Amino acid sequence: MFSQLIQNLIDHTVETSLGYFQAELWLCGTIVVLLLARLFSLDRLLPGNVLALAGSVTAVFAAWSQLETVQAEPGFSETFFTGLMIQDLFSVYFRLFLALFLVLTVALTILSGIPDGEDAPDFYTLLLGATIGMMIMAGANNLLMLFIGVEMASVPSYAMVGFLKGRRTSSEAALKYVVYGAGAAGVMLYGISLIAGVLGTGDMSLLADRIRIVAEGGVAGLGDAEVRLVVLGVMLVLVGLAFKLSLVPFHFWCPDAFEGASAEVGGFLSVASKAGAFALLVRFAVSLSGPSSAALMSAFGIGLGVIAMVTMTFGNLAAYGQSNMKRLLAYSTIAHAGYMLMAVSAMLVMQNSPQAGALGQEINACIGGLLYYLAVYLFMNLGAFAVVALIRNYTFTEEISSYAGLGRQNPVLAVCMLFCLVSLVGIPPFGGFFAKLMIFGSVYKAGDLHWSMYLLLAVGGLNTVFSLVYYLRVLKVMFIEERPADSRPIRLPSLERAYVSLLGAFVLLLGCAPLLADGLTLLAGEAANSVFSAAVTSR
Amino acid sequence: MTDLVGHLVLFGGGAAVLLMLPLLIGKLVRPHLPTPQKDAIYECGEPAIGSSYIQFDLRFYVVALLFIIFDVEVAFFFPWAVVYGSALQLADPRLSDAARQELSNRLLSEPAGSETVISPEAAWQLGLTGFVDILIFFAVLLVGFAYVWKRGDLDWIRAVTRRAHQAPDQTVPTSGHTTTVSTSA
Repeated sequence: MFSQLIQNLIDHTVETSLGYFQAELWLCGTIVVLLLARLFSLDRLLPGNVLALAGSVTAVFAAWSQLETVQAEPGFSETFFTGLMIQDLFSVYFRLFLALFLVLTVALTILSGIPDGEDAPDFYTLLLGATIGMMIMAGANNLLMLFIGVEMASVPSYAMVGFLKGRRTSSEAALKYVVYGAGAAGVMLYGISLIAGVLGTGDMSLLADRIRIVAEGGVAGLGDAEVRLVVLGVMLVLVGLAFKLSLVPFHFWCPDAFEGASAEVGGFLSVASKAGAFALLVRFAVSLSGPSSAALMSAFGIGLGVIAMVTMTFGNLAAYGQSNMKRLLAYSTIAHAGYMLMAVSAMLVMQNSPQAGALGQEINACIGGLLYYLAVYLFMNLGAFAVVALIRNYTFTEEISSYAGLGRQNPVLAVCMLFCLVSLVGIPPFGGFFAKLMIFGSVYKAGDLHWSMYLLLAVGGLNTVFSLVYYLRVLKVMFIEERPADSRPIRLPSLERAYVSLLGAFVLLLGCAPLLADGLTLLAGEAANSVFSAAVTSR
Repeated sequence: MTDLVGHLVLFGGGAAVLLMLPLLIGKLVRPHLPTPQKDAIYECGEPAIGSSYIQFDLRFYVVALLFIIFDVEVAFFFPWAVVYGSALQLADPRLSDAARQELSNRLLSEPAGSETVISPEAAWQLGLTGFVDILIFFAVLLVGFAYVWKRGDLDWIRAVTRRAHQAPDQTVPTSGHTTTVSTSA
């Protein structure tokens, strides 16, 4: 019997688990090769950035092939590594998303040359390591993997923020980020210990079921001491996730970290770590939702809605006074985390309402909208940060005032910035508009179930108008003001122009090319479906 | 009881001998040249007596950080070693049935009196898998260690070593300098 057990474990690991984990394994292998190349002084022959690019492209292909196999089987969902991780379309979608984003980030660092040859192996080891952590976040099926994923993504991020050695702001940013992150991780671990202690399992697919067993009379209410402990644990875990998402009471690190870090790192952190954290948040929220915990989770949904309102309002208002472009973009990412949180809030309210059975399509649309938003956000936010990085290489500053007159001097850069910023506001025909429309639509549907969702929708709409002002201020400086005569000219090599044009083109195409947008919507919808089907089959 | 005492005496005696032997060899071999530095109380390179409000050398922190990284990774070896040791013992076909039963219970964390017994073949397979696992883990760990070594993070007098390396080509300005000069000109 025991030999059968071991044989099964080995067979399952070798034949299934490692195959599902291959994108991450390619990245792990790339890290080892990067270090070995440096060790044997092969890095003159094989520069670190080329190796990193090759490794991340391989990871994209690995994730792509997984997407094709998983998509061929609707509703496919399987746990691997003895139930610690889960493979479904949702996790594969995020794996592909992160691998693709990694390729774009590595390409940007090659173009802007931020880690020099000397530091390249260190930098790419950190970058690839953080991406593996985010992929684990997206595929976690156990509270322990949730924690390991968050930490694996966070620790390299701290070092990357402080990577510009000898710069005071950079070191300060890294230190603030580390102290804040360590605190949030500790709180989250405490929350995990409470949940796992009361419910007796760390397996996320069992959580809703265990709450039913623990709760008196099968309905979880706050009168029950054990349920109270679980609720406390869930709130503490949400603190850790809110830190990664830079939601409002836990956002203080974000502007400082982004200002101190190089723009490339800022772009990476703003998109990738947010994507990983949203994947975790959705999975965690879905795993806790069940018939017995409906009232509680619906209250959590409304609570997240309140946090979303505060977050986007604060982010947008704080962005007004910024004169540094990276700080402005940092506050803009805080606001966008608020918009995206609206989708999770609406999803929880709908899924835990008595009419949940009839609302299947709408619940799906919430998460589909979130995934679409993340995909568009990738291009528009990375585009904005890329322009900041490329301009910095010429003017050595990131102040908005230094962008004066760029529209005439370097139209390609300026127009790419225009596309990204206008899409961030959410104006048609850019991708950001449709992403926002999908999320707002879901929140509107949830309004039938609870009035606070209408309020959330109104605040979201108002915020979109607020945000127009500070994005347009940047564009005004770029396009209307004259370029000072003594400023350095910016002449981009054609490769860099092609890169920003590509990002700008995607922002536009995701809004107005029906084929691309529809394909992505369909994929996002299917991926969203797989989270819920996994939750249903495990029950 | 006598078995236990015998082990204790052997262990204590072995420890005492192995401690005294190097000291004795040192006493016989070393030259006797006392200096004030050598006679001072040793406390990790810092003056042992005086104000405690001093700035520690930054290099201590680098070494401490590297130590912690490898220390924590080696901590992963302990649970592995317990399972691997039991598995190898169980893999021995000459083991008596009673001992096999006891080891199996310990490995599976089952109460005494449980009936499950691990066969030598299964234990051998477990041991082999564990060995391959730890080899991969250790190989990755060693790559990191070699990288740190190669980068010079283990050199105590790193700044001096680097300056000595760079001394011959100091006339050539670094690439960073040239770009700043050309753009401002």
